Amino acid sequence: MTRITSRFVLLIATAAVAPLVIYGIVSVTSLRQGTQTSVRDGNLRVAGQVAEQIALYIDNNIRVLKSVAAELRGTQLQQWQRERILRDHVLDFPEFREISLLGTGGEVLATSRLGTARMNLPDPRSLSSDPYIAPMRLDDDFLPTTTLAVRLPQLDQSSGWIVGQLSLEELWRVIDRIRVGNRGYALIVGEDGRLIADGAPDEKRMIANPEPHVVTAELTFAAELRQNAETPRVREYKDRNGVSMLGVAARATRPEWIVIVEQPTEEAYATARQFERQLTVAIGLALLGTVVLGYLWGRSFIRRIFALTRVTRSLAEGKFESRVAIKGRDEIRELGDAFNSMADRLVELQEDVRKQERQAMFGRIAAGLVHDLSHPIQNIGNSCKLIMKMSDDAEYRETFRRTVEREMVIVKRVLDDLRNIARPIPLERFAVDVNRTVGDAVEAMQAHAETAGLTLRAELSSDPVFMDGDVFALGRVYRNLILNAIQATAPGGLVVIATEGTRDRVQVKVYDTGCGIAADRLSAIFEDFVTTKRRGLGLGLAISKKIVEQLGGHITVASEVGKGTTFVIEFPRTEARPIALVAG
Amino acid sequence: MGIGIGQGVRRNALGNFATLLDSDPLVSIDWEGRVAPRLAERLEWLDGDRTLKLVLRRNVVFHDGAPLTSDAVVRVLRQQVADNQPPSEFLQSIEAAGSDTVLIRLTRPDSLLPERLNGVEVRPPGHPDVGTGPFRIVSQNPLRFVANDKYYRKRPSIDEIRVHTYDTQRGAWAAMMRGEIDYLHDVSREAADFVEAESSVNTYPYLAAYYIPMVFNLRHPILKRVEVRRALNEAIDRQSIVTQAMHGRGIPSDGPLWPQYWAISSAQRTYAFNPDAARVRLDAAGLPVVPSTDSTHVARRFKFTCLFWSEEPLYERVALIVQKQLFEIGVDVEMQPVPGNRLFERMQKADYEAFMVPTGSGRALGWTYNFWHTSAKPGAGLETGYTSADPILDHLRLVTSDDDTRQGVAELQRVLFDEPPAVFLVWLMNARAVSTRFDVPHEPNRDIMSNLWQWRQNPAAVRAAQ
Repeated sequence: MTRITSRFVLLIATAAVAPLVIYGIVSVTSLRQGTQTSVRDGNLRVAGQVAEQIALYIDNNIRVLKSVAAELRGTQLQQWQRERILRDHVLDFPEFREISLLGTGGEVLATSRLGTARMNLPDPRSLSSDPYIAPMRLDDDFLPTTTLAVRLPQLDQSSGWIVGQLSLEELWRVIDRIRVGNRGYALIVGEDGRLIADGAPDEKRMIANPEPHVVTAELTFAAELRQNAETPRVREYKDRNGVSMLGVAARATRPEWIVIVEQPTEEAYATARQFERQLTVAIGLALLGTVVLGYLWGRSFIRRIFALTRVTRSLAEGKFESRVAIKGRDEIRELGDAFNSMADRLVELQEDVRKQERQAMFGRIAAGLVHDLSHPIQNIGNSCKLIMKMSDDAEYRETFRRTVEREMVIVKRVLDDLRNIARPIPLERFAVDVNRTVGDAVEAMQAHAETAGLTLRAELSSDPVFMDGDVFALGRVYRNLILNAIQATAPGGLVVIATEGTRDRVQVKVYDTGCGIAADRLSAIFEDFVTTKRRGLGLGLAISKKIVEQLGGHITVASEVGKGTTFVIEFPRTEARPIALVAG
Repeated sequence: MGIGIGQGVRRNALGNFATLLDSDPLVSIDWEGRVAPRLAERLEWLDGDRTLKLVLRRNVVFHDGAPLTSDAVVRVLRQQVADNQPPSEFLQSIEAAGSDTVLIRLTRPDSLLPERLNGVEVRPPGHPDVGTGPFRIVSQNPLRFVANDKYYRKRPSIDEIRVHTYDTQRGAWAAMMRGEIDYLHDVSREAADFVEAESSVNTYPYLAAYYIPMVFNLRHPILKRVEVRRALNEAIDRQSIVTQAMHGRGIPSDGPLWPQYWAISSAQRTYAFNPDAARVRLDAAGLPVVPSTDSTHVARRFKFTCLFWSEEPLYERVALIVQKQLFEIGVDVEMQPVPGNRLFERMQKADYEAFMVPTGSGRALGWTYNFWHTSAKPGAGLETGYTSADPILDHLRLVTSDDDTRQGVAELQRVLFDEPPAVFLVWLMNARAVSTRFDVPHEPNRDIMSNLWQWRQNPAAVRAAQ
């Protein structure tokens, strides 16, 4: 049986909790994805801005060189003037270590250096573009540097190049200013896969590291992006310190460097996780509230149903005074009221039934008494009259005296039966030979059987069986059962009383081939004043059952209408022999 | 512990660096330039300041286990005399008076004597690697030291020091960034920002006892004129040199005296940047701007050549700025880069018109005397032709009281202002960098190197590194 509480929990879970949980999961997932996407997009924007700053940084320095070129375009400039211009620019723009003016053949026409030009000057004939940006390289101190060059047209009727050596240490300062959150930094990977700049203060050593075989997750990321432009620009990886990082990349267009903005995922997603936690807590509280409210409401609802159930059971147990008190103004309250009305009505009906039963029983008892006593009393009366008429005939008087005595015995027995119903039957227990007792009863009832035109037969066990019992009380039980069988069996029928002994039980079985007892009446035949006959008080089987049970046995009945009835009596078996035999 | 030293300072400083580790001087010079006891625990002038009595510590032993005695010190000092490097030109005798007392007798008072004793390396004759310092040398190549278990102050907590040298300062700091060394002796100005940002490294900037002057050869017909030298001093914006060339890691200089010197007078006049006044002064001196007659030079008042140290990028940038600033007042300076050894040769031969090199000031008067006095410059031999400061320098050498010294120093400052022998440009701020694996006792602006024996490994940093 599924309890209503379970159904109720299921109802709340299905109707309230499940949708809330589903809503929570969907919300948290959407929030996480949305916030993470927002963080990634934000970092991608930063990376893009860094790439733009790099381009701006290079462009600005190219502008410096173009400014130099513009100043040097005057054809009448003297050597000292050229050098002054170059030196002024080096002083004003400290990111340039030196700036030199090259002729078309690569000869140094002027330099900012106070001595000879020191940088690795490119051969102008090999410069592929204007402006020219050399690939990043490491200088003698393993620090990144690059060379920029712009064409200087019509320098003394020939063209030349302004070449500047750009210290990328200055670019570091630009990158150092890039900060994402508290622990997010930008880094730049050059064309050859080397780290050019890293905003993380503790990672600058990797820039200066001349060892080309040091491959970090960032460098791998950059290399893959460089090889395949379709490579996703967002990646999570562990850096060389084992910290999980969110890295996003952008490609700088000039020069072709890769910008990576990386931030510890813990920090990058901190806000998202905080939102998740807040939403989870809110949904959890909502769930808890729903469950608590559902529980409280359900309990108040179910409690009334439980009260109704309890009172119903109590009523079923015969406690007709039980009533249910249900508060509220709903259908359950109406149900409770209806139940109480029904209980009131039931009590009234019960009283009516009892009254009717009492009246019927009184009627039956009265009829039984009339039946059982009228004939003896009639005989006694007739005998008394005849004694008066024929008082001088001693023989007649004796005959009528015996008649009166016999009828008085009958009257007494009826009265004893009535009395035995109301109190325990006094029994005297002795070891009894069951076969003998049964045999006596069959012998005593043989005349009745013959009168009824049927056969009465005893089938006794071959071995003597004994029990503790009252010979007279047992004889009455057997006679009663035999008499009932004779009365229920048509002439020509058979009534058998059989005995049988097992190791510890004694069984006495009485069966007939009579009309049988209907099943609906079978269970009541041992009750007081219940009879299948038209006459009699109906006390015979009740008293028999009472005697059997007082002797420690029990009696059962099986019957089939039209085929016959079988009574089976069982007693505890005893090994003690009857007193008469012991004495004998 | 690994120590990195770049070439920029290696030639000059490597020997001094080793001496700081393995040798303690008889006396030390404190931050304000006063003489402080070291191996000599007490100094006392006797005989009208003609005898200096040194009382030695009793618990000092050399690395070889021999005790430091007055006889050992006398042998060291006499060896200096024999090597023509007497602690004083007025030395009469050096005597031991008991096991712990040394008497240095002079023919006349010499206030520079105690300071010069600071430069005396106390080592047993014939044992250049045996000293009394906190560390002892166990290998010259590579240079390696181990802790001196018997160091009289306390055994250093650093067990071993290995010194690595690099071609450039930048190479040294790159090694520091790579974590190959624990201590960077000199952090270049270009790198200082990045090294300071490194959380695994602590940097310790300090004011070095070095300044950069542009020293004039007063035999130059124009530079010998005091009004010209004053004009050149007024034409220089020293602060812009600090800002543009030194990344702010320096302070303007107004003279050769250690700015923290206890006797220095803050009331003395100094040159302020005033190019207009410089032009007026040069015009008044009869040095107008003369237009250029050919394409080889600029219109100018006059021209001179200035040598500068070519091996350190800082000096080229300073030279560029000075050149530009003097150009603004019409003075054409040809800045000529010269390698350090060649530069020193030319300085000694007075083969220059002007030069620009880092110049030591010391923290007392001795270095100033040696550099700027025309005579009695043991080992220096510079010929600037500048004699104006000689009388007051001589006077300062005679006095030993604080009051007399203060008055003399004020007079020296006045002379150097009125008749400047150079343009004193900037004082150098250097920086040391030490791995955070070490706890370093430190006072602001002071050099941590002298405390190296007190450095300790930082247990937390070591655990974190492990």
